[in-house]
Amino acid sequence: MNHVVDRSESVPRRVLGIRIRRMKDDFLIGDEDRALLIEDIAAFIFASLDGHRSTTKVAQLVAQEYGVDEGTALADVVEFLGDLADQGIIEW
Amino acid sequence: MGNRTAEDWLAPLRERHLIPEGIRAAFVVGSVARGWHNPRSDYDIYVVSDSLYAAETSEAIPVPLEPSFVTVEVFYAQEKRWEVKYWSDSQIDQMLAKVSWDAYERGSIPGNALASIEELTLARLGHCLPLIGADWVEERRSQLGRTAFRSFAIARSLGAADTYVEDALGQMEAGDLESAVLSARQAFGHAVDALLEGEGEFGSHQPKWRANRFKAATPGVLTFDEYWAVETLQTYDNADPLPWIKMVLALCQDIAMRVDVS
Repeated sequence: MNHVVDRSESVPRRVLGIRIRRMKDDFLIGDEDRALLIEDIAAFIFASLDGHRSTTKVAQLVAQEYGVDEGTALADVVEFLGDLADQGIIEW
Repeated sequence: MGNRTAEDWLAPLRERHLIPEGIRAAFVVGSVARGWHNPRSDYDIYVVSDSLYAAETSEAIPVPLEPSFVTVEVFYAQEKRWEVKYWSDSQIDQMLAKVSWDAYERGSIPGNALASIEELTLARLGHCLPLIGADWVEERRSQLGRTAFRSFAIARSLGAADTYVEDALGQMEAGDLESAVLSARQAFGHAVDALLEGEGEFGSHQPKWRANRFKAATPGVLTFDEYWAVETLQTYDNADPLPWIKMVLALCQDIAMRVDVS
């Protein structure tokens, strides 16, 4: 939970140089032979990273779009972005 | 093109016996067809026939098709240079087959799918001015719309943008900021080309028309003023290039986020 609080006001940014291909509303991230497919709500979160929005703001957008409470959305967003950060796709 | 009729266009060709047997279509292409011409512009005309036209005066240009060349006739009339390029109907079929959805889904490398001359020819179908065979042109446009040409073009341009972004990042890390600026400019050009191709504005092998293509496409991701500010280095600070380079690379990524390659 502290992890969630720590990241809530951080601004996540996509790492420069990451290969991105949009396919309808989904995204293929990285090289084709080991690309990560980001779909559905994950794609919505990824598309919301504009380098200005805080994690909390992204979670609010998710809560509005998918009708979930902001606390749950924040926890899910932080977990997802943490995974992306571990893979070098985003940075805080 | 003003009050010029199809016959006005064709008369100089007829006088020179440059209309072949078995003609399927003849159409004006290039800047004149787009309304982007200027007093020094050439007149470019494509002629498609059942068999490839060739005369003693023809210049042959190699193409990766069968027949393995197209022919060109050049003459001067009405104080203009006229260039007439001849294709066979079968060559058009072959180019369309190269950008089929089957080819795309098989993983054909986007940059290798078509030679520049082939891509430019298919791109020009979209904005040509038919003189003969308007139905043929309309049918070919329709066929082109059912291929993966758009996806091939976008993937090729985004791939080129990625390559230059990677170059710029490496050059930044090495402290070679002048090279990084040049790479960022190249990356941005290709990213914008992808954006325009996403809107059906092809022809990125001719970057001189990028501003005009941008105005024709009016993509939602960038305004023309935003695009032009980068293209013309309006916010570049020679004393501190890094912020400009990073801004441009981020913009390239933003464009990739918005252009649907499927």
